[in-house]
Amino acid sequence: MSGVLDLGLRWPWVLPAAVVLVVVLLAWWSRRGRDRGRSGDPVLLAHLDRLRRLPRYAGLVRRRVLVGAWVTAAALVTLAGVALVVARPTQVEVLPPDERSRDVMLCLDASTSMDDDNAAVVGAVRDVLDGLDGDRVGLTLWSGAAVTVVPLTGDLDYVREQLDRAQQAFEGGDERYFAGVQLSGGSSLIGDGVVSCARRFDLPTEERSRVVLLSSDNEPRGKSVYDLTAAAAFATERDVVVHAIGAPELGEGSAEERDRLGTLSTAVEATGGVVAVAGQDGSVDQIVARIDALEQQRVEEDPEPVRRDDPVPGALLAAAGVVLLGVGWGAQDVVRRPRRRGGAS
Amino acid sequence: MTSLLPRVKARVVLHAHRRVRGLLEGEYAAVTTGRGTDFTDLREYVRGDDVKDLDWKASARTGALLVKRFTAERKHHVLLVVATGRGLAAHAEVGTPKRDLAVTVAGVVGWLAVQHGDLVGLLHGDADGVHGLPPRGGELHVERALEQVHEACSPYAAAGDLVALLRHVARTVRCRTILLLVCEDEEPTPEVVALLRRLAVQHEVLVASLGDLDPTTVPAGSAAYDVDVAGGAGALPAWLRDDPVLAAELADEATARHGRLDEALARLGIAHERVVDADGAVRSVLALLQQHRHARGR
Repeated sequence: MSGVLDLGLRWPWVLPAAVVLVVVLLAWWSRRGRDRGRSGDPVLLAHLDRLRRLPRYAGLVRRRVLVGAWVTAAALVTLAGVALVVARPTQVEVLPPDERSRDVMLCLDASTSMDDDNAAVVGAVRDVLDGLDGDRVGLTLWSGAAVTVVPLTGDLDYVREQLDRAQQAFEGGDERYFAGVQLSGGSSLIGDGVVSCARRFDLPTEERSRVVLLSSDNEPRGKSVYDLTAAAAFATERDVVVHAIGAPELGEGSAEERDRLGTLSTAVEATGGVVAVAGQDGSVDQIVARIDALEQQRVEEDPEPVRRDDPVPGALLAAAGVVLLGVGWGAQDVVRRPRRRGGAS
Repeated sequence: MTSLLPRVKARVVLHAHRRVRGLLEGEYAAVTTGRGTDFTDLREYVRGDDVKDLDWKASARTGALLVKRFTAERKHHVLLVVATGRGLAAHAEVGTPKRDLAVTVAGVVGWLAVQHGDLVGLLHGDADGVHGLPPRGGELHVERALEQVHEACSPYAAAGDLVALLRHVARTVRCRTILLLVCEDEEPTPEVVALLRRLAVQHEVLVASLGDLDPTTVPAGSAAYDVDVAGGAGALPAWLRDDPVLAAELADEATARHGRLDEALARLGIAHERVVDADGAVRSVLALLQQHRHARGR
């Protein structure tokens, strides 16, 4: 999924700074040691060669040197780890753009004549859903009024379940499923339907592609607030692409029907979408493919490299150093503890 | 620095009042036991005699210059031989450098000598050479000798060299003296023993050896340095104090070494005392003199 291209340091100057710090501290310590000797109340001793000749002295020195070297190495390892963490190693990854960046609102005309087409649309979207997890999908039915059946959600299991239910309802003509869409005077008020669907997109600040998948016969009866052109402008303003699936009769060639199809396609194309006529081979698939294509285009355009902090190696190194340091200090304690006389020595 | 001798005197008065009075009244002195302290005879003046010793009345009577013999005999030479060097700058106990002990020991003997009217000379030396003062009387002279010893024992002085010093004494000192050797806790090497044997023939030798501070007993608050290593580089690590095994080994080694020195000196018939702290210094000197007088009495 994500390719590790580079393990770089965000602040590489930390490493030389740490080295300089170590050198400065060492210099300071050694100087302080000398100063402390001068300022304190020193005791001078002679004939220390007699002390140094003792076997016990040699043994103690050997042990101190060992423990000292161990502790020094551990401290350096710890410091190196901490410095590495502070330098912020980053992994540059190219992530595919947010997989959940598509909001697809199925905006289906609840006219009885559209049932079969709606079932096809729902089925097709459901199939696409299987291939593209991460999309948010919602379902709105409209006729005289718009009813949100499934709000936009990323819970795909729920969405699938709901789409299955919708498909069954469309196939079986279940009137209870369409309750509420006919409440107002008119029916098939396509302009209001589109606007309602376009308003269903939450998260207006996020950069997402918003698609309304409209199915309609474009035969409004009654007075709508928005006509289709105004609705298309509304959608465009909100950066919503409207794809439309026309009822089969729109493809049948009478002048009036061609006119309806023309109106629909003009409005839809104004938003950047396409019109397909149901019943023609691959029409729904074509739209679904367009939705896919929209995403793929985004992937190609913005292969955003993401630099992500990866403190794990540094932290592990520091932790290992701390463990070694603890062992060293423990050993130091053991060395310092006087051994009983008459023991192994 | 100007008042070493008063300090020595104060110490003597403080620590051994009664016995020192006894010493001042005439118990001190070794060579005199063989001869009377009175005037013995007169002899003719020869060049080199002290003009003070001339017996003017006798000379007037006889017409020849006569000197009183007893005066010259009674003036013993006390030779302070101090093995100085930076080793004496080291501490014998916390807060007391060994050179203070050396000054005390030499000062007590020198002061008793000048009190007694004897002449006190000084020879001290380290690896850089031997220096000294000719035998003279007077407290001022003793004070000067003590100052010289004190100055020769700075931490920046050369290392001590007992063998060179003893060789120098054997080569240059002609007269018979009461020789007080102040040295460190030395190992009785054959060379040292041979030189001491040679000196004991000529002189009344007394040895005061100055003990070292045990490195394992340095209190935790103070930093310890090796006087033989320049600068602060010779700092002793603190963990030396924490190891009882090391302390025991060191104590064993010291005991063995002391035993060897005691035995070697006893075989030579040389009085020896070990001076380990300022409080015991005067007592040690008196014990040394006492020991010496008993040895003479045999």
